[in-house]
Amino acid sequence: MRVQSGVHKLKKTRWEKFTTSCYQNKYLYLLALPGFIWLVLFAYKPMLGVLMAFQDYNIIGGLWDSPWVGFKHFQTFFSGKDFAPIMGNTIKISLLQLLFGFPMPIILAIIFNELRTGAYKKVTQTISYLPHFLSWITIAGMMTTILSPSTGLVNNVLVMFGIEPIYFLAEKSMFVPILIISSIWKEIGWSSVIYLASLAGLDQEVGEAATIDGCTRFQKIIYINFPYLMSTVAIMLILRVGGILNAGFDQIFNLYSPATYDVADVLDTYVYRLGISGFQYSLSTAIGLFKSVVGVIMVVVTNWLTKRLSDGEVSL
Amino acid sequence: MKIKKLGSDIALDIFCYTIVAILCLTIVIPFWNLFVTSVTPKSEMTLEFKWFPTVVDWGAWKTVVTSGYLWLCFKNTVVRTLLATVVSLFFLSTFAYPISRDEFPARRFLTTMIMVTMFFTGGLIPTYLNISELGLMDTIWALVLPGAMSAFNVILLKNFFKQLPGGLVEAAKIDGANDVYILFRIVLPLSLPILATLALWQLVGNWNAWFDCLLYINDRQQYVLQIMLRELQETVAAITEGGAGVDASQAPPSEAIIATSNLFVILPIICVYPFLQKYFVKGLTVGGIKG
Amino acid sequence: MNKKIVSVGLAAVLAVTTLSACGNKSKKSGAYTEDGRMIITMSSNVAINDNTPVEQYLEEKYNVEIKTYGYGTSYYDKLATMFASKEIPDVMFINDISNWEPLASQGVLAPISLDTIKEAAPDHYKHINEKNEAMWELGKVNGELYAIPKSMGQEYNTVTVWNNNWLKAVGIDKIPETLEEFEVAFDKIKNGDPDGNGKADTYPISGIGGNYYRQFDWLFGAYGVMPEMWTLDEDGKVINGTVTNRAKEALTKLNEWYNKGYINPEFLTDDQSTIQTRFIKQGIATYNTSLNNVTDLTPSGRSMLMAEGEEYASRIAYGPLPEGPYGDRGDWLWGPLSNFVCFGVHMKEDVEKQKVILKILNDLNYNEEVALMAAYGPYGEGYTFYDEEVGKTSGIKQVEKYATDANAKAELGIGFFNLLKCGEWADKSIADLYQNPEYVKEQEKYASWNSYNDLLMRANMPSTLQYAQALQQMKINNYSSFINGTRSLDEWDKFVEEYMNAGGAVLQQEAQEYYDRVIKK
Repeated sequence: MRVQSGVHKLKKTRWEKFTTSCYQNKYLYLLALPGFIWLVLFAYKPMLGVLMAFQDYNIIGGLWDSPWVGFKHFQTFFSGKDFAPIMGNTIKISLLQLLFGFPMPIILAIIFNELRTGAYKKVTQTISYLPHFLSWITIAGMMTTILSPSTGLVNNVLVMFGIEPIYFLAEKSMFVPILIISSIWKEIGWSSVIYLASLAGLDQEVGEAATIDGCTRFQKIIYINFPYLMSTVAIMLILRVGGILNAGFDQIFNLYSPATYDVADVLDTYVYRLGISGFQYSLSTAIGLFKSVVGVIMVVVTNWLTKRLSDGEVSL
Repeated sequence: MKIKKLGSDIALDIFCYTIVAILCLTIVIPFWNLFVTSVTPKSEMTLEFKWFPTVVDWGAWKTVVTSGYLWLCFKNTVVRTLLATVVSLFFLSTFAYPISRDEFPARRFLTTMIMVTMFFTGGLIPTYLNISELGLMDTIWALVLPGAMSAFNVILLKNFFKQLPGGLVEAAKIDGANDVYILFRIVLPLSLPILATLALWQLVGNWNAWFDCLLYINDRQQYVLQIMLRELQETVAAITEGGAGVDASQAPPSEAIIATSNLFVILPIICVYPFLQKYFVKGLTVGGIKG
Repeated sequence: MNKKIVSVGLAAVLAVTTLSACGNKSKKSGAYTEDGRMIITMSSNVAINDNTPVEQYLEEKYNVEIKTYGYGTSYYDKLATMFASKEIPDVMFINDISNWEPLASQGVLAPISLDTIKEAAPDHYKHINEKNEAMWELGKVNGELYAIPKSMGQEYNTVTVWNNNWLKAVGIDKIPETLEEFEVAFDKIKNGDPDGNGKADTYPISGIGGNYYRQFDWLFGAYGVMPEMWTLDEDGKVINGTVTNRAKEALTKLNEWYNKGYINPEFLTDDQSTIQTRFIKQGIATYNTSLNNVTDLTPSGRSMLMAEGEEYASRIAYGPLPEGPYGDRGDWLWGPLSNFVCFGVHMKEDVEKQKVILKILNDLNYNEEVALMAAYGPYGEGYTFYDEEVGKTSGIKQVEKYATDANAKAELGIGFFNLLKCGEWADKSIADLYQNPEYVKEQEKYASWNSYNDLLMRANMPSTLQYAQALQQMKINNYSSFINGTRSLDEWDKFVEEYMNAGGAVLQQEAQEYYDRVIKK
């Protein structure tokens, strides 16, 4: 009897604790409510659609009456010809893009931060993010013009210096560098916005104090600005690795030629080749799911690593 | 010693200004070329890179700008973009604030909940059915609400809130302020740089969006600009390829149309940036803390 | 969500069963307006507004109420979402087999009886049968017709356009017609410095390296084969043109040309518009285009020539595609099959409605007045003639905005009802009424030179979706490599083996079966 009443009492305390906590945090719950409702209505409700990956989805049957096929679509996907080299290309391109592309906007933001406020800064910043608005098909058109071996601007310059013209877009060894450079060009300004915003939060007094202590501006960048940016950098990195299997379909699709196909064939072009047209939703959902799972694993691992490295300071 | 220091600062300045200048040059040149293409008539189109137009022909610009339908779509896009940005900032900040507070019991649960949405989405058909069941078809809410939150933005905002000096909130609490007051009166004014960033992202994302409008809006009078421009490009391209019975010379060259619509769409966005840019200026939080 | 779908599904099932129970004559709610006119819903990949003049014309003429769903971009995504919410239009434009076949097997489409077509659309029935009876087979799944095939009235006539100034400069007076004459011309152009810059640096031709069917199709045509089309080999077996010995011969020739510097190495990244610009700006000596673009017998040809200036018009000359060593000639033609019209599944029992729609389809193709209205709108408002005195044969001159502005088109309602026709005109006899008789003659001359159609009329095999894309990419890459020598033609047999292993053999087997079953008899 006594034991039972003890348990009962404990339960009640927990419940009480819970209600007290709810009451104490009632404003926080209130604030979170609209977002929570949004999540349920717009994110979780349609998420059931993921089940299509395990079905032979049929438009008339819908999610409820389509036949279940287990992992059939995953098998089709994994057992396709050249799956392995394609994964290799994808990861290679994606990692190189990350390695070279990721730090660039950070550096640019730090540089912008060093410019004195004024017209020059305003104009150059605005210009820097313009390429973000161009589609890859437009950029590819421009690049074919600029890189053409006979009429292109770049080769005209090379010829001026007595160098043989290079057919950049048909050169296997040039393909990945071209991808990386063009995506840096397209996104460097736009991606730097978030770091600029973060730098704007840096307490100016710290900088002033450092100057009094005899720091050069370069030293300030290294010892103050850069460490200050690190938490934003870490968050951006964690969020970015989730897309490791997205090597950038539009860019590659518009830039490859028969000559560079071997190095350019990635997961997304492979999926395109699988011929997902004609209302086949199951296979594309399955592929999406595979990419998501890889993304989740990458994010969780990176998050754990960053947390360890930063002594728990930085994590999602 | 002092001179040396000054020297290194000057070197840094030279370095920074030059790098920025070079970057901008690589951008301005192609854009200038895009403009040159947009005013080049068919007979003057070449494969070479053009520095200056040999003959100026505003035909493509006329085709794009003189259509009354364009301005209707333009208006639709402006309304949609502004509304979506405001709604999104509301959802983002009210959700990111609680999960940035360590004392909030549900923060782990809600953070996980939003992170999951970054990777798993229902896909085209379930999403469409959902919008249709919610009765949002053919309303502007079908364009505004689905994009209001994203895991990426929530995490960034939450991260920014966490970086703010903790003492501020504590002090306000001791003064008896509740969390709603703290968020709107103390935290948000201190977060203008990140809010400006998120606003910019939302503005641009909504400005460029078209597929959702195509799916959820059946009335052509409610279409957004991007759909209209896509249709225009497709028709002109089809004519250039030479359909029988269609007079190809009546249409401006498709390269010019594409260049023009690219530039046309960018113009308003260029105008918006300077207004947001002032929030990226250093020292805002300093003022906040002092005040 | 569950409940809603189930209930909508039930409603659809109920609707279908009631429809069938009611029979043909009784009026069904929803299918008729209050004043008793039949409601017809139509969808197509062309944008259209509500209640356009063209729609009103058709409604009045056939005493029906038409509801249009016109979606320019992403038409199939939009259709899919409509199907998922059980809104299936009565009649739909579907432009290829890979799109409608899955729909038929998923139960979205209604089977159609040939007898109904014969009765309600007699002209179309006759037209298809005259073209090729086997075309009906293309619209069938498990022996039932789900998609009505439509056939183009006229073909695309390709000619070789030359820079005649260059030909003259190197001493050639006759437009080359055979492959040998082409080679002589190429050699002189390459080495004879026709542009007078003192260097032998002129490339006679370029190509479209990244396109699976336009990649030097005219040269393969001269060798009597068309890669990516089904054809018969020496033993009468079905084979893909890509892996035939004739294709290898053509590639050997192309590789030889490449080594001699006849082909611009940039063919790898060129497309039709770059090639055209190269030709116009005197970068290459010759390219292929439609007869319509280079003749002054049609309005569009005239204005095309005018846009490029007099100098251009005076220096070009056109001739046939080359005739090869075995007397073959021609380029890729899509063939008689254009695309399809399908009925929504709920139309299955509503034969009355099927007939009304088929009647409209028939008129849109074979009735001059209706066809003209749907394509160009009312006379005076949508179009006039180039020369009012000459009338029809001077050609149709569209009012400018309707030629260039998608929204103006949508407002007038033209183009949308193409869902029931193919191209501008289905019936060549109507099309010819609006063309210069000389042009019609010229066209026929060139039409007889073009002879490449797919043996199976581009029918889908059961495994086409699975393999075709990968095989096309393989063809593009390897052919390009063979041409510029990055892969030696000694490895031809190895390539054929790779091609067969990558699904080529499976498709060949299926194509053979289809041929034996449908075409051969």
